Amino acid sequence: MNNFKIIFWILIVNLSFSNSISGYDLAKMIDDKEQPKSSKSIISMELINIKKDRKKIKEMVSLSKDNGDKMLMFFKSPKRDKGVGFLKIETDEDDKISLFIPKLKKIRRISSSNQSDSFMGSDLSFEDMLSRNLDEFDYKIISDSEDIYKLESISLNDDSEYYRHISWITKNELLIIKEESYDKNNKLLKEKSFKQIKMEGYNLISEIDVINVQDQHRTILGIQTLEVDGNIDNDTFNEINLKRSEKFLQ
Amino acid sequence: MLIKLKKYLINQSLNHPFRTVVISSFLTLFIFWGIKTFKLDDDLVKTFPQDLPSKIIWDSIIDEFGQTEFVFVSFGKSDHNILSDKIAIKQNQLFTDAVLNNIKGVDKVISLSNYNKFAGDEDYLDIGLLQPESFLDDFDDDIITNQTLIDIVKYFEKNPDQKQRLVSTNNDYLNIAIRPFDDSSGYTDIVAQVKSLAYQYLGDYEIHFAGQPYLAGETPNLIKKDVSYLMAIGIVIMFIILFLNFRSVYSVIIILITIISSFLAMLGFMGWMRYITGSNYFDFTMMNTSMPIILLTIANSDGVHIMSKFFKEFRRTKDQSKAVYITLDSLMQPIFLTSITTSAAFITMISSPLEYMIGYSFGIAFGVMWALFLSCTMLTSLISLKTWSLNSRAISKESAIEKLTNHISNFVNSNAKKVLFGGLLIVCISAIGIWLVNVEVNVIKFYKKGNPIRESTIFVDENFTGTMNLSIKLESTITDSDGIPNYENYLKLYKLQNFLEDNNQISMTFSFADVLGQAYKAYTNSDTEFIPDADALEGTYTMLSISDKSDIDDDLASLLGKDYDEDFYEIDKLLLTAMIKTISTSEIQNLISQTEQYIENNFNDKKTNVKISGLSVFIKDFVNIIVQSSITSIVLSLVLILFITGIFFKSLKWGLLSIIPLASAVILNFGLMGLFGIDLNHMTALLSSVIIGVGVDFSIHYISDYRRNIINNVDVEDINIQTSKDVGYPILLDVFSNMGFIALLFSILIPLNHMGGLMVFAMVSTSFGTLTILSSLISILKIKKI
Repeated sequence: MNNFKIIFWILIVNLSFSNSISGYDLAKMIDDKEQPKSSKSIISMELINIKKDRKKIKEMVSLSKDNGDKMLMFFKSPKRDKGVGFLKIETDEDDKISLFIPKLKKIRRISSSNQSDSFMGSDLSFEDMLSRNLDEFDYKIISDSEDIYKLESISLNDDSEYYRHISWITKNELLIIKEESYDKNNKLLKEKSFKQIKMEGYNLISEIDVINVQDQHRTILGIQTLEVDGNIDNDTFNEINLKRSEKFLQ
Repeated sequence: MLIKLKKYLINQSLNHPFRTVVISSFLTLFIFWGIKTFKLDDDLVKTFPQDLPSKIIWDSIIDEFGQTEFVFVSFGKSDHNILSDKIAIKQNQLFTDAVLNNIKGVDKVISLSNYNKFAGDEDYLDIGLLQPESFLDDFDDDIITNQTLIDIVKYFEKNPDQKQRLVSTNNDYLNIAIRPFDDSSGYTDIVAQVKSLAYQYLGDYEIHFAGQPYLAGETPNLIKKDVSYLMAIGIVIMFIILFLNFRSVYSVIIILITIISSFLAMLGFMGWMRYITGSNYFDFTMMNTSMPIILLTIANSDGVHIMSKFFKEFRRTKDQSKAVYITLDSLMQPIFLTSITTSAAFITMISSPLEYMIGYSFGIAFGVMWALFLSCTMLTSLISLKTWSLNSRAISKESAIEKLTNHISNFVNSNAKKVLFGGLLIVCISAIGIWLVNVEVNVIKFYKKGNPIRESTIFVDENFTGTMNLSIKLESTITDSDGIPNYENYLKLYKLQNFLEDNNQISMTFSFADVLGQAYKAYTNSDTEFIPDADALEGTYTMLSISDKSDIDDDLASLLGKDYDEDFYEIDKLLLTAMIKTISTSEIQNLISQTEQYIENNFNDKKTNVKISGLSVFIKDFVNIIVQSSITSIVLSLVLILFITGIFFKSLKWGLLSIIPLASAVILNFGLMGLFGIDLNHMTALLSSVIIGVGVDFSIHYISDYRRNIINNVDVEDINIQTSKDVGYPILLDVFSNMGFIALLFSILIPLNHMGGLMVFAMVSTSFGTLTILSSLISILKIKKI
């Protein structure tokens, strides 16, 4: 599940906070939370065109490791897209994103210059799929109610599609339950909401609901099955395996 | 009752001229007051018939795929590489943004700054904007900006077909395509705003505008301005010719007052009708541009006949009141008849499929009848109000035209058979030309060679992909309910595009097959956009469905329909657009026929439906309708005139004689148009009604005068020559005074040139028909009974 790096900071920590916590401290504590070593999940992706009142459901198998830095994903359905593979390997030096479409028989790397592009036709962008580097944001707690922190994260990265995010974080378990993302013109672009489940001692996301308010399009990602801390080799995450979807879709 | 009315009007003009002038002026002003609800409408497209098959297809294409026509703006400097000019690229983006942000009627702009690429090389697949969004932010960083320009050049080198849409052949101009909204109300405002922004942002470069919406938006205003200006010159010339013949400023002014008052009343009537009926048919559109010219010609005819008759009678009787009385007594009936027949001829135009002809025909008919009313009241009262001197040159001496008339009359009567034979021979020979008449409706052909508008269009045609288009809608199974594409249909579409592109007149085509091809080429890093098999096609669909389509959503909607499925499931229609360089209407016709033949041979399964349309196709059909309805209107008018004059003169013989000059003039008109290569178009087709309107006046005046001479027991040997001299003078003076419209020959617009030429020709041919064919026929027949 932690393959959705958008939510990299929402896993549980059982820490207590002082009232004088800074924005950066809050973000760091979320980032430092213990996460599953690996995960394997079946995810349903519901794509809803609000304007045209049209809905599509796709299914994917996802494997991830190293805090989501490595991820391999295959489409299970629909029929036409079955076997389409997506591989992401994040390192300190660079991020590699590769795509394999079986009918075109070729693996292609996707240019990292288009971080704002949609991920697999959903309302999540490639940037949403990558880890957020703590030092690339300027943090500020803009609201501190009895149960919730409202954390503003202003992007310092010129290449980012976002100007800032506002996240609603529960005080007791440091879970992000809602987030608003604003584009470079500081206009609301996406509204995200999250549902959590508790499993194997981790607080894990069971559903992400993203609405692109500008395009009037919505994506609901729901976890159908989930295994955590399984034995997944590092070798799994290489381009050769992109062509072996049958092995992972069984 | 008519005799009572006639006596009443004569009495009013003779005994109460001042009161009559005041009342008729007041009534005219009251009608003119309707001008407050009068509406000018420049939207040419709005006047098109709604039930024309190609219009229905065109509407459905616009409804499903959005507007298919673009305004093109290209800018640059000759022999200056625009892709290395970063300021030009910046201004291009600023202009694009300004058009999108400031012009409400603009739906979409395709320019370098928002063009999407499908790029791929050995390393990466790169789908997104060709020019980075951050271009303006990074503009001052030369390294980044120069790299951007290099990347753009490289992309175009690899994709020359796409370059053709945005960059000129010699890399010295950029092209920007602006698409108006499909529900946009007319193009005039959009074109004006686009031009204003272009001069603001691109003013340092040479700018060219083109495209059908541009022409449709620019032409009506130009026509109106040109017509207003040249008509004013025409009226001045008319004044001079009338003055040279009447040699009295007063007489010319009162004729012009009558004409202008009729014109104002006609405009007011259009306004009142619009107010009363609430109908747009009474809007003044581009089609109505010929109305003032037609009305001025016909109203002038009434005034000239009355004034000439008065002078002639005054010279003969030497009694002003008696001359006015005789003038009205002898002319009121024929003028009434000519007005009725002319109005009836115009009202037959309501049978036209063009709904807007209702306003046109009723407007003119009213103007003609008001000219009759004013000629019999205001004009004659103004004659009565002045004390005329028998010694004035106007009264005492014959004018040059009167002398010319006498010569013609003598010649025709002495050589009646030869004149009749010669006249009929000319008509017969010219009839051959009818089969050579060419219909030309391409608006750019309205402009003369060398005109900046025409040259700009030619420039954009030669340097980019062309400014006209054909839209082909294909309804078939493109993808099924599982999103699996039909490869056979892809192949058919691909081959259809190749077939079209093999035609020299088509510069490029584009459809969803091109998007698929570009995606395939980018993904596989191959040299071709052709997708070789069904698996590859399926994979390409998959690739597109999972790609970010937010930047190309508009493009896909215009290719697959506004309600297309983003995952490309159950796609059952698409639009293929063929860009054409400016060609003539007949070439379009040939192109459409060839395309239809290809489609019939290659898309012959029952589940596939292919339709062709486009503004150019639709305008072609539209003008065919105008031409057909004009011909119907001419035939109906002739029958109606035969019927009315037959009843009025109580004789079919006179009815037949009255339409002979008309029929001859119509044949001459269309025949000589064919022989001299004058095209039939929106404007010239309508001018056939001038022939009817003016021609019927001449023949009715001639026959009325002849019949009056029979009643007055004029000797049978002299009766025709007497008639010819009596009526010939006002007819020829009418012809000469309308020569002022020759000013239209100096218009920048070819249809207005033709209009001017045909106006003059209509006058000459109808007078020719009356004074030669009709006169010689009557002379030969030696008719003695009324």
